Amino acid sequence: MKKKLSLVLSLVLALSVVLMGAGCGKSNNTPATSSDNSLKGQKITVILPQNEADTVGFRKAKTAQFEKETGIKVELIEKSWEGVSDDVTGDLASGGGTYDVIEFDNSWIGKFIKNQWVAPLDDYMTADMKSGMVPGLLDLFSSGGKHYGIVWNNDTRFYMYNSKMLSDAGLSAPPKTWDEVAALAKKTGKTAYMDTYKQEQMGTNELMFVVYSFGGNFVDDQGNPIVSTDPGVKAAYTWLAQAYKDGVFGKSTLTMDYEEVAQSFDNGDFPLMLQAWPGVYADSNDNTKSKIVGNVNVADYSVSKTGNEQVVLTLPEAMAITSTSKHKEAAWKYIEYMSSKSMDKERSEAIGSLPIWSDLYNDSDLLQKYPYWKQFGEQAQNSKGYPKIVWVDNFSDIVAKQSQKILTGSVSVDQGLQQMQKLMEDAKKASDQQ
Amino acid sequence: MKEKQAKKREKEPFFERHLGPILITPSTLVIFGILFIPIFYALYMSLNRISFRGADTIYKFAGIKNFVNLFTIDPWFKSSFVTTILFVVLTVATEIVIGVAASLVLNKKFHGRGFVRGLMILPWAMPTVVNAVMWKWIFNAEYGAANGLLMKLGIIKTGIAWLGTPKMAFLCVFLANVWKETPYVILLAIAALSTIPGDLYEAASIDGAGGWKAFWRITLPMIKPVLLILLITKTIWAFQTFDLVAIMTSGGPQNATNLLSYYIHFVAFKQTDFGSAAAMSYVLSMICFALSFVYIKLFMNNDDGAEKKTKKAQRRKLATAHED
Repeated sequence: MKKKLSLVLSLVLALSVVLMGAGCGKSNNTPATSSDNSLKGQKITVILPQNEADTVGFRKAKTAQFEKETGIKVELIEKSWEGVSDDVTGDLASGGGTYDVIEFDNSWIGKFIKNQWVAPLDDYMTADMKSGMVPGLLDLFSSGGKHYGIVWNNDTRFYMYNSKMLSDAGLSAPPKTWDEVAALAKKTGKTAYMDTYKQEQMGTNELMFVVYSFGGNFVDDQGNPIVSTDPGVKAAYTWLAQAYKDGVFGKSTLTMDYEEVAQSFDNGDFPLMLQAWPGVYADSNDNTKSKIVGNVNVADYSVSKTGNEQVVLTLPEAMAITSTSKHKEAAWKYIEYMSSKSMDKERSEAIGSLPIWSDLYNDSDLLQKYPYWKQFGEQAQNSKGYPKIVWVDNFSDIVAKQSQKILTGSVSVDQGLQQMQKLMEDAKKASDQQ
Repeated sequence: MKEKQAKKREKEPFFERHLGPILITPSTLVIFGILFIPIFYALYMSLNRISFRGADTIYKFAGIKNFVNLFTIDPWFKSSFVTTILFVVLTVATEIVIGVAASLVLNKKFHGRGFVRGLMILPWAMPTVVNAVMWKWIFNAEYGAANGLLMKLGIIKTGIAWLGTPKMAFLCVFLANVWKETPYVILLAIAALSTIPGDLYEAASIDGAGGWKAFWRITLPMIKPVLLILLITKTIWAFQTFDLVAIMTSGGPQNATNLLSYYIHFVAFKQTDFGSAAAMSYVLSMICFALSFVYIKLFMNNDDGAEKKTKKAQRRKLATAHED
């Protein structure tokens, strides 16, 4: 009898282990729906930007689906990036508690982790996630060996061009160097490109690209400002100041924002979009939005000083769980669901966003739909983003303001860069003292 | 008598006896909650260096260091401060001068006056955000209506970067503000003008006063109380200008339109330096308070003085009559 009982117990135990094992080895290929009844009825608040990365309401639809499948209620707040930034910062600075899942921008990493505003995700992340997601994206949102964010917007920029406008100008391939860009403008007598060099973070993004593409850097590896001594920075600003004077890029570049630049590109107003986000391609080929359908192409390279300093900008946005969240489990379920491999593929198919799972770059369905991802891959070999410094907001502000002074000729390149250096040193000092 | 009244009151039910305080208690609490607590909390913040650790906010007493730093260390505060003062003086003066002038015209009887009056109010009724976006596109260097019009008229050959140079951008934000805010002056000035009795102008005309003299001696003194209110509210609103800058220029180019309200927002929510932002808010509030005080003193002193003189003369007259 005892033997029979032990046998039954052993079988039950073995079965449990197998079932548990199956549970642990759960793949992230499909959206993770909760079988955990304790999470049912819980309510989480999610705040994320409604921007150029999702113009078709994909997130809203999938959030509703998540609610239906898991029983977890989600209050989804979508605003402009600026609005989200203000709300999240204001809430966390006053003790938090309002939001469970928040936007975690790549430029906030230093500040948010230092302030302990976001919770580490290592205990929640599966082995699949750690090994299957694009390593660079995971590393970017990591600090001290811990992961803090899962990317929802793989915002890497690429060089796109209007092939018809270029062939009208007698070019068979898009310019490869900055001098060729200037030559194109001279040849056509029109602006070669538009961008945003606005006094805002987006302006700094684009100016960083120019500096990087001249082989320059604003700060060294330790985060010390080097703008007045770095030859790449000087070369970049010398080119920019002259280009502004010569009308190589449109004058409203100093005031336009991303959406306006994309609209103008789709309007066929200029031939080169030097750092377009992935969704631009889809929009430019949508005849309800664009006048240049069929004329947009992706270059195999990005514009640089000599053609050798290949670099593209990467500005990913992640989802993170606030350290003050009272529903961390439910918050994680949402993140897990929205960033599963199948959801990632679905999103890519729907809006042309770049996947966050490495495998999907070789997915036949996606490659068939987006053959230009091959070129994306070529360009993305050397992607670069914001420096990981705590005083990043000051950094961004200083770059935007001082660059406008240099571009418009209010100060010489040397004067402007020296002022920039001094301002950055002061900002770093103030940050170090905090 | 007083004792009787006191006894009578004691007999009244509690609610009736304390009706006044009971009725004002809720509003007092609300005012205290939404006005005084934030004011004192902001003062406390302005005297501290603030940092964060998770849900905890760490306050480190800094005395008046945040205030001193604004004028000594902060690289942008002084320029924002000067820009703001310039913006306030120019917009308030322009809006009031144009507003009063337009209201004088609209106060005259002419065919279609109602329609024109309605039309004049339109910019004010328009949401600020819509106004800002509209002007941003009008002044767009490549596709804006301003350049389009000037080019069609043959005045310019290449587009002007209206929002791309500091002086031009300041002028554009100023213009957008004047366009939006002047109708409010017109609205109130028309209301004030309609209360002036026509007899006064008739009497002035009989005495030989021309239009200009009548304006200075009758119209202006009669609408002075309304102008005072306009001056105070317009000044405070001009100091608070945020949306226009946020949408049209983001404070640029080269910080030329970085008004204090916008800069405070940047320091608080981007740099998360809430101590300095609170100090700036206090400086801004004190300026508004001081200006309002000066306006009231300047405008009301003359009236009070005249009133006091009249009362003094009346008393002297009465005293003389009694003596007689």
